[in-house]
Amino acid sequence: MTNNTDNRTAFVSGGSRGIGKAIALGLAKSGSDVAINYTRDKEAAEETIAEIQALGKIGKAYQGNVADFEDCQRMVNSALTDLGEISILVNNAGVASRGSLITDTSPEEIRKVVGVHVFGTHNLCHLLVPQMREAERGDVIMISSVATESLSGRGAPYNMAKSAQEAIAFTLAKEERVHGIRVNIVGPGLVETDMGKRLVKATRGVEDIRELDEGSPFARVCQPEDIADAVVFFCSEDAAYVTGQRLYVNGGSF
Amino acid sequence: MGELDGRKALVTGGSRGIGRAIVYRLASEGADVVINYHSNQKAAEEIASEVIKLGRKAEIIMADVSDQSEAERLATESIAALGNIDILVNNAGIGATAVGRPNVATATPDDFYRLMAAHAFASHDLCRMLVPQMRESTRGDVVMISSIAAQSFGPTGGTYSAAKAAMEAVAYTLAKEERANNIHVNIVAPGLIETDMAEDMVKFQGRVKDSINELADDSPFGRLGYPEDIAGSVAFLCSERASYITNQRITVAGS
Repeated sequence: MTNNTDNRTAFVSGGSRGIGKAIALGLAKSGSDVAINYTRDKEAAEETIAEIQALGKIGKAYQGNVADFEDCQRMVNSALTDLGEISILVNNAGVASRGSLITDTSPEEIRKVVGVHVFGTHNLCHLLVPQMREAERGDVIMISSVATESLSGRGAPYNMAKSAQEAIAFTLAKEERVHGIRVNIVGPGLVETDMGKRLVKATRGVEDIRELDEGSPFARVCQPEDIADAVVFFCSEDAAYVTGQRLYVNGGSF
Repeated sequence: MGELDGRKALVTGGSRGIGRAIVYRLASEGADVVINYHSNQKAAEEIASEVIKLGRKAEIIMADVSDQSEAERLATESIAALGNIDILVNNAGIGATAVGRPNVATATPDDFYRLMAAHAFASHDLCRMLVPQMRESTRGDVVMISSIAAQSFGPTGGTYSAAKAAMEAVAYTLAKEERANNIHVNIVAPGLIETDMAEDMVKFQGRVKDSINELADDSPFGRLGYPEDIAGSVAFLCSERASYITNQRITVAGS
């Protein structure tokens, strides 16, 4: 049993930067061609594609908002045309919420955050899972959050969105097992990405995330590669009998 | 270069079944291994020779880990054999079938004690004996091999499920206590795995006539779980790839 994803093609939403980029590169290193989706940052997407290609795999980038079903149809059709069968889907695209109380959160923000995480995940599963059933093995991974365990105050949009996204995962796992598709969840805590740095600046006034290393689990802030490693594990032969599972990668949920 | 080069592991119940696969995989990744067994010396010698063929050190140590003094002896002898132990896999166990799968209302205190001792007390004894010296290592890992019984709590599995649940509680507690010492503590919970113990169970339950393999077709992904499936998760959890993972539980049951 091994840790590779040879000869499989992956689609990683939000794959141009941060955790998504690390996942795309991790899957490429373990043998996969990778399609990434991005919304705005074309330059970052092209840079990620170049890094995938430097690893000897095919990389493609598709612009679109995963919350929009038609955007997803367009991206999925293009990806399948360009790359053929896609047997790994990583629902990673995400946005943070503002950290307001429920009483101060606008209906628009709820819809936006839920849109990306929940409708985006559902859209991509809806469009990619049918062809994935033909693959020898399929994998769908949701990048969730420790928020689903702590459900803390000032986190309503994100708590709602990630909890609903996990519900899709647990449901889909039951539905698609008979088709050889594994569905699992990786839940990061604070990770050193642009989003993570913005979060600690906004919530704790921390300008340099290095200041947080000392007080962090295992004396370091979690890196995008830590999340990528868990994703690749789930997609590998070592996890062939693992589905419907959730791993929090946050140095311990305490 | 293996992912576990330089690591030193103790696997309880390592001579057969899931334990044997864990031993083999850890050795394949570069670890030296103490193989604890209870009754089957020949099997222990066989897997030890496989470990040696892989170029690793293997030591076989007989001990009934459900007995406190034997668990303590196992710990002491393991350290003496390898110098230190930085991976502890609490895998040894007995099935509910071993006590006749009684209902809670029928199970005797002896039934209950026997299962608690095998899984919960044994795990605690070995953690108590090995964690202090593990703190000196660059990294330590404790993995409990639990069971889906500790989440489904099926009928007639009462005393087994309770024992496994207690073992899991030790894991979750220990994870918090030892994180600062860079010791990772996690749980792998197997479902129905192709082992002698599982075959005893399904025969006792009347679910098969002759062989556990009769259940394969109706199992997740059209197959039983294999011991290697458990070993794959254990190897991951003990590796650098899981260096930010602790206090977690992976069910390996295809469900």
